[in-house]
Order: sequence, then C-alpha cells, then structure tokens
Amino acid sequence: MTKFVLMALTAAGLLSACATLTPKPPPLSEFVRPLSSTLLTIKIPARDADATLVLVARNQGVETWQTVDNVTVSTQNGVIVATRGLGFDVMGSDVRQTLTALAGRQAGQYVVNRRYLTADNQSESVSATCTMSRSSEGLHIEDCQAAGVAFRNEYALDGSGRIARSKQWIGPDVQYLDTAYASAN
Amino acid sequence: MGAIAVGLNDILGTGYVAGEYIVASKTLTPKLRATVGLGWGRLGSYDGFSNPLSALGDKFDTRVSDVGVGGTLSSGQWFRGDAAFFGGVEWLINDRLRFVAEYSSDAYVNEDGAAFDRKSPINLGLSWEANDRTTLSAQYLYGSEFGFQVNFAINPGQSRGGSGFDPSPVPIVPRDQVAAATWGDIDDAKFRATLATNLEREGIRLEGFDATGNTLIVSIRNEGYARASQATGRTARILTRIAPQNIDRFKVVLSENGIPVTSVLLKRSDLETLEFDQEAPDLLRSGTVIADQTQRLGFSKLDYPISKFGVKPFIRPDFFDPDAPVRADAGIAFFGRYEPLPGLVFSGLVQQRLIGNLADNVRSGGSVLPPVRTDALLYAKASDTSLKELTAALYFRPGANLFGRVTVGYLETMFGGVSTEILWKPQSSALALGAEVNYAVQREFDSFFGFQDYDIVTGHVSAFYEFGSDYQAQLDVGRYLAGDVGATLTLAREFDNGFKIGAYATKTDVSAADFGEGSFDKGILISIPLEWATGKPSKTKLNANIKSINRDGGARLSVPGRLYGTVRELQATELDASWGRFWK
Repeated sequence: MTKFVLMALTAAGLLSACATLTPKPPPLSEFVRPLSSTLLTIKIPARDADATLVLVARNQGVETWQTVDNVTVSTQNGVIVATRGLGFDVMGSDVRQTLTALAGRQAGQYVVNRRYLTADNQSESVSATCTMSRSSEGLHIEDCQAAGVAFRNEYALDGSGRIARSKQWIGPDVQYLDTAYASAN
Repeated sequence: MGAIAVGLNDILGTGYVAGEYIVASKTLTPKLRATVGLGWGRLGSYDGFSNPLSALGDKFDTRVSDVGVGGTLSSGQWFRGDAAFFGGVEWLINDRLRFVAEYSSDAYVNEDGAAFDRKSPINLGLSWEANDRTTLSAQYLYGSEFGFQVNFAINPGQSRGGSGFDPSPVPIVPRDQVAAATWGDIDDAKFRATLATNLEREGIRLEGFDATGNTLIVSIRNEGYARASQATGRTARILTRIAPQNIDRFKVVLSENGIPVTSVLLKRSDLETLEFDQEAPDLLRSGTVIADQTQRLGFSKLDYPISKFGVKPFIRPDFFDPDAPVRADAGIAFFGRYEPLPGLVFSGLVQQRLIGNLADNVRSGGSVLPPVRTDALLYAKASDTSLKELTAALYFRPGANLFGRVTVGYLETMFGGVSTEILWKPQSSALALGAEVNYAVQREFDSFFGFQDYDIVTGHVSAFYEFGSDYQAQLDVGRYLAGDVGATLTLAREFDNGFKIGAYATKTDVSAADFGEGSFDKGILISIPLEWATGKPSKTKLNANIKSINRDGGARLSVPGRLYGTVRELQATELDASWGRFWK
C-alpha cells in the first residue's frame, strides 16, 4: 500500500508540475522582425547542438541574434558579449581590449571581464587575463586564464579585419560556442 | 588520536525507544576505522551487564520506563539500567566504495518477530558514492533482512540549470529606432493591446497604464517568474520597444490582488546604455528609485474585471501515522477567481478525491480540547467532493507602508467565518508588524455549506524580522483555534532564489498532558520554487509543512491570501536581493 501511495504521490507531483509550467512562449519571430539577411550559425559541441540565428536588434554597437526557440547571442564586432536561454548565460561583458588586440593595437596581457548569474540570483564577475597571438594558419588565438580555468578563443578574420568565424568560450557549463556567418538566400 | 562522542536518542519523543551511548572511534590505517561503544537503554538490551555507573550510586542500577506523552526531556532515565558493548569497523575500499560491519547491542525487544526477525547482532553494509550528490547503499541486517537505499543531497544555492533556461527576453531597442515620436502618434487602444500581448507572452498581466509628462506608468501583476525583479526587467525591455520617443522614464508598478505595492522608476537611457554592460545591475540600480506605491491608477486606466478559471491536479499527503508513515489523497481541483474591481477578489476551490488512503486512518483523536484539528480525519472520511474555499476578499492600502485585508466565507476545510488583517511593512525595513483577528465557525464534516456549533474569536499580533544573510524570524502571539493562548516562533532561511527551509514551535497555556502526544505543536516548513527544480520560469512553489502529529493545541486558522508573504516579495528588500535577475 505504501508503495502504491508513493507512486501516486510521484505521479500527482509530476502532473501538477506539468500543469503549472508556463506554456512555451511563441517564438520571438512573431514579435520581432529580422534586421538583416545575414545569418549567424552557431555550434555548441559540449551540448551537441547547433542553430541558425537572425539579427533582431542593434544597440550600443552590439548585435543581438536570435534562434527560433528563444536563445540569443549578442556580439560586438563578432565577439560575444552576452547570451540568453543557455542556462549558464553570460549576462554582460567588457571585451574592449579583445577588440583592440584583434585590431593589432594591443600587445601583451590584458583583462576581459564577464558577469554571470548564479542559481541563487547573485551576480558573479569573472576576470580573465588574456594574451593574443597568431597561429601558423593565420588565426588570432586568445589565451585566457581565470580563477581555476584556462580557455583558448580562436578568431578567423576576413580581408577587412572582421571576424568571419570563431570559437569562443562561454563558461564552464556551456564551454565553447563556434560561430560563422551565412547569407539568408 | 581518536574521537569520543556521547549521544542520546529519542530525547523529545515518548522515550519508548530511548537509548544513550558513549562511543570512541579511531582511524587505524588511512582506510580502516574502528568504533567501540557502551550503550544504555535500548542500546544496552542485548548481552547487557550490570551498569558500571552503579559505582557512582545505586540509582543507576535500574531504568524505570515511563512512557509519557513525549515532547519533554526525560533525563531521569538517562544512563540507567543494564549496559552493553557495541562496535564496528569501516573500510574505505576506494574513494567511492565503503564497507561497514557492526555488532549491535540493541536486542530490538519490541520489534523482534513483529516488524522483522532479529537473528544476529551483526550488520553488514556497502555504500557507493555514485557522484557528489548521489549515494547508493545496501545492507544485510540482523541476519534476516536486506536493505537498499538511495540518497540524494541537494544544495538550494545551486541548480541543474544554473540561473535557469529562461527563454531570452526581448532585446532593448534604443529610442531613435522607435517609430512613434509622441503620444499623439499613437492609438491608445492599439498601444494597450500591443503592450498586453507582449507582457502576456512573458507571463505578466497588464493591469493598466497611464502617462504623466515624460513618465509612462505601467501597472503589472507578475504571474510568470519566481522573482519580481525579473518580471520588472522584462516589462522594461518591452517598454523600450513600444513607448513613444518623448518618454524618458518608466514607472513599473508591481501589484498583487489588485492593490499596488511598489513602484520601480527606471531611466530609459540607463536601460539603453547598460543592456550588455559588465556592471549593469549596480549601475542600473543607482539610477533607479524603488518606493512604496499606495495610489492605484484611475479606474478608467485599468483593465478590469479579471477572471481566471481552471482545473489542476492536487495531492494531500499526511506523514507519520504509526500505522502507515505516508498517506495521501490525490485528485483534481477546480478553481475560479473573479475580480470585478481592483482589490475585490471572489475565489473558490473544489476538490474531487480520486484515489488515496487518508480516510484509512483508524487512530481516533481523543482530545480534551475542542477537536479543531483532530477532527481532520472526519472531514477526509465524510466526502470525496469538498468545497475547500469559497471566499470574498477585499484588499486595500489604508496608508503609506500599510496593507489591509478582509476575507469572508469558507476559509479552509474545517472553518469558515471572517478574517481581518493589517500589516505594516516599509519597503526596505527588516522589521514588519501585523495583526489579525478572525471569527471562525467549524464547518460540517462534508465540507459543504453547513456549520457546526463550535465558534471562536482567534487572532494574533505578529512581528517579522529579517536578519542579514537570508535568515528570518517570525513571532506570533495570540489566541489559537481551540481557545488556548500562547505564541509561535518560526525561524527560517530563505535563499535569494526563493528556496526556503524553516522550523516553528508553538507553546500555549495548554498543559503537555492536555495537548497529548508531542506535548506542544512544532514542525518543519519547506518551500521549493518550481523554477529552481526545473530551470524553467515559474512562480509556483511547492510548499510542505511537515509535523509529526497534528493536535488541537496551538492550531491556527488557515486563511488564503495572508499579506506578509505576497507584499514582501514585491518590495525593495526582495527586489534588491535578486536584482541581477532584472537582466535575465
């Protein structure tokens, strides 16, 4: 009898959990129009996931790209400054020195700051010390060291110095995100 | 160097299973640890010998078993009577696997043959730490029984989904990209519809809006998020996209039950410049004014009436009946809510029991007090369909920092009547004070419209205090449902994600003997935000009040819509504690 009750408890608990979840919101595309025909394609190897994103907003020189299932990636000249919908999101960043280093105007060590939100709703700043170098294939390699973690971002620039493809670290859970641009036609 | 410990079991219970021990442990090698102990009481019941403490006096020779009602310390029997040795070894086979063997001096006199067969004093166990949070273990006990166990540990400050897999919020749009220049360019009705649809997509209900000068006031009801800070952030983002360019301030009014509680006054320019800023929460907060809001928008600016009807499953568990540790009823509940005017709420809840065994309980109340809670079983037995709530409530703001409520109707399963409440809670105050006076009449057992003869005026004055670092205390002093007078002290820790764990105890002028088993009312409170468990946005909380026994002393009326919890969630104290979530 106890077993039966426990099963009933579990079943009812699951039922009530399902019934009280907010329904999945309609895709943002019903509310927001794409601003450009360019698309951003991303891959998250750690989650075996990939997606195509459309440009939905420009603010303060930052472009926000959106998937149909409500994940956004915000980039400043191709460098990721924020994500939403990934769980362990980057809430905001200061990547000015990365941009300066990519333009070849920053030598030696520099600092990249990022803000995360903990499960207990506290803002957590992570400060990484980075250096930029060039690989033999001509990629820009950014080696960074933060408390307890080291990561390596890679940027492939096109002829005019813009990021065409990249591999950028998001955090310990999401790990790397690969980006590339495509055209909507 | 070894370690020595002294322990007492069943000190607050009836003493029926009491035992005391002194135990010494020593790590022999890094992987092997041995324990030897001397036990009294039930821990001296197997292979016992006369008490070595008798050297200190004859009184240690015999143990008088005086099983009372429990709830009080019975130190008079501690370390008395026969004693016996027990012991064990623990072997760490590797980092995750552990083997234990013990020799038990507990003869299980009362359980042997009834609950299980005790054939041997030797118990063996193996446990495997599968990961940081999960441990699997198996035991071979008393020479007759196998046991298996799975333990999950949880950390309320962490969640599988990090800060949650919330769908992305709409991006902020800078003013110069917004189509309309002034209100003159906007059709009022169309604006209202656009705003309402956008908010509804986020799980937020628009109560109304108004514009004064360059400030746009929007009154909302958060129905989608565990934290009001996130609902405020999402509302602000939407406003940047649709408010005409001449608006440079957004005043988001957070309201609950139709009464305004808090206004959050945001600078539109801050939202635009800080969207991706590394320091966004602090910089935004320094330019934001969070204040008490007593005035509601003019009625013509509000969207009323509001109604909501639905069906949901329910589960009613009952723990610790000695005959069945867990009982429960489950079924479906029909609920309805209708708000014709701001602050006036009609609501009802009918439950239809489908399965369960609450009514199988055969223990009778046997209380010398009015059976205000021990009758609960009779309600469970009387009917499968019951009207749990049918109330009319009026919520109002009598003044600055003050909140009021009057509720009339069938308030809970066992009582109906009138409940009145007033609360003083300033925005950033750690202290809040409240008073509640109720007139309650006991309902018929079938939980429909009839009443019984028992009625009572019951009420409390309450003080709430928040210590730093998530700890809270609440003291209620007053007259309880059975007419007893006393106080309840509740201590709790609430994490900034809403996960709450607490404990409470009530002592009234009812004697321990009259109270019955347990001597006084006490229990443990747990509240888990569904959002924490699933990683998906939700305002739902899973609440549990776990107590070992439900007696008539120290019982409180259960009233829907008490003020403190809902008011506090919308105020500066809570908004600031989770302000980082504004941007999520």
